[in-house]
Amino acid sequence: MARLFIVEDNESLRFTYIKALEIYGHEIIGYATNGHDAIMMYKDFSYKPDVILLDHRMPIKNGIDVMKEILEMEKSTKFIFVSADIHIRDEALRLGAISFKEKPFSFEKLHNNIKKALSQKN
Amino acid sequence: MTEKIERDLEGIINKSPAVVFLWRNSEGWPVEFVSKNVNQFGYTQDDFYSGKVIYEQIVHPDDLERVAEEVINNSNSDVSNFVQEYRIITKSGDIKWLDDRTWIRRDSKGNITHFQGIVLDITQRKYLEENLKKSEEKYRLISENANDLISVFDEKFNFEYVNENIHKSLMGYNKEDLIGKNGIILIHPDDQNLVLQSFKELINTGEGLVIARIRHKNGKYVWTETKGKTFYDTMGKRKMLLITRDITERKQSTQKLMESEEKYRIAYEHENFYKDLFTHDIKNILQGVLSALELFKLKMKSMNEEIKNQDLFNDIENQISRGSNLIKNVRKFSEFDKFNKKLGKVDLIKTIENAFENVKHYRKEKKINVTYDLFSESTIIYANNLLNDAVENILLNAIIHNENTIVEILIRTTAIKKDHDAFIKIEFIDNGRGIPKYKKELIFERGFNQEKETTGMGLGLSLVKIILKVYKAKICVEDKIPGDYTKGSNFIILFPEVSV
Repeated sequence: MARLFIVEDNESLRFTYIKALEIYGHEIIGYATNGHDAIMMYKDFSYKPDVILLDHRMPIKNGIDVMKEILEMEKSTKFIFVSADIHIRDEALRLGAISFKEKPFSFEKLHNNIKKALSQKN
Repeated sequence: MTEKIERDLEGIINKSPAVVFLWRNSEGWPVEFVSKNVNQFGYTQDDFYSGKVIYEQIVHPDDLERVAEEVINNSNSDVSNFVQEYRIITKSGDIKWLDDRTWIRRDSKGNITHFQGIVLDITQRKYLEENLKKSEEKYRLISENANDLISVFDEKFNFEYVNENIHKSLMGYNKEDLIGKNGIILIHPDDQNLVLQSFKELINTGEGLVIARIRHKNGKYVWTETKGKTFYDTMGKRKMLLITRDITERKQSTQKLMESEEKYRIAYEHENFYKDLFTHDIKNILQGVLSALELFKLKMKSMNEEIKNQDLFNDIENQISRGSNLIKNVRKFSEFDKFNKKLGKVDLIKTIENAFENVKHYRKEKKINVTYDLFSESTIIYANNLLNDAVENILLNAIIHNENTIVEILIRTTAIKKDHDAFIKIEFIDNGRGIPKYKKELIFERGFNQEKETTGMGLGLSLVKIILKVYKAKICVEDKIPGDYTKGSNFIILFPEVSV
């Protein structure tokens, strides 16, 4: 299964993402509560995540900017956007996200997207 | 020597435009002497000397009485000379204006014996004067009947002329209130600097424009727009011609427009605020509920415990889906005008198939059978990507409002003619609970909620109607079995046929 880095400022959502995705068998290697911390933590990962689950509207730095900066560091990074802001969907996909999950979404579908991202990686 | 002087003088007179006359003080003013240059009027000296022409005969009949009166009046007074202007008729019949300067000759007893005069042809001057008078009259008439305030000022901004009628009717002032007064006293204190600046500019450049408030005689201020130009009068003095228009209504309209724009801006901001609330915050809340629910189910499964009340969980999931769909529809409603309404050729059947794939799992507990009865495998209509939303809403309606374990939906297309126009008719015939007659039109209206205690339809069918209107298509609903609505509904759409 995938090594996941979760970037979500909403505490209860972050908690359920982590718990549910662990049940689906994924490894959560870390989580960030804002865009700035996400970039700092990504730099510090010695073994980079397979997939980053990324919210858009967050304190300090939004998801689009986070993705741009991380892609500049590592072009092959896989992002799945998990956001309520449907208006940024096209931009997110154009800039390199492999999938955009509009809230509310089911874990089953998210799990399928992660598996798909993993197969692309492999 | 005397004769020579007389000859020289006569020569000079004859070469000048002035004609010399000596009239005897008798009836008809017989001429005893006239200079030779009388021929400029077509007459000869002999015409007068012979008595063939009497002077009063050549005076214009309309002027003769006045001329005679003036001669009598002046003769009876103490004056020794007088000036007259009148018309004569030349020998060829033309009319000439004369300036006649006459000296009265008296004998030793004081009786008048002769009138000695010099007459000058002033026809050209009279003509110019007459034209000037007519021109002045014309412009005065225009000025007095204009809708704008017309004023003339001197260089110190003092009134010299106003079109009184308009000043009276628009501003309440008589001529006497203004002539000689300084214009600045009528200007609103806040606008006086601006007006003085504009007045200086007018003097410097010859043209100017200013918008300012002028005080009405009743004390209220009126918004005006004034255009000015400089000119020079006959004495060579520079004057300012100002034309002033009441723009109070224009100002008020502009103000109302600004207020309206402000209201619109605020409304727009509010709309965006609520849209953001729906599209972000509520979705996050729904995500929280859904995630917690799913996590609970996952944990129960991992603990190998059977979830007792599966229906309850399904209902919660369905409610979340409904809420999510409602949010999407609200967003589409609010952004409908911004959508790209450009239409292109779209395959209706493929769109229906795609829409069904999106909605078929909406009620997992139900089996959904869709059958097709198509007059053609491919049916092209003019539409855009919103057609998918419209079809999804119709299919969802058939699925949601259906208590049967197996939902049956028959999709039938036919090509029909109606009032000489060709249409593609598509029917969505379901075995749902049906729609009573009184609700058949209401369900397409915005704000209609079919049954509050069950699964409401949100904005679904009202959005469908709006989308179809863009395609010039019409939608209605009939009973599957005519007269018995309880057996199911038939949603019928007529699309204009696309000529291939």
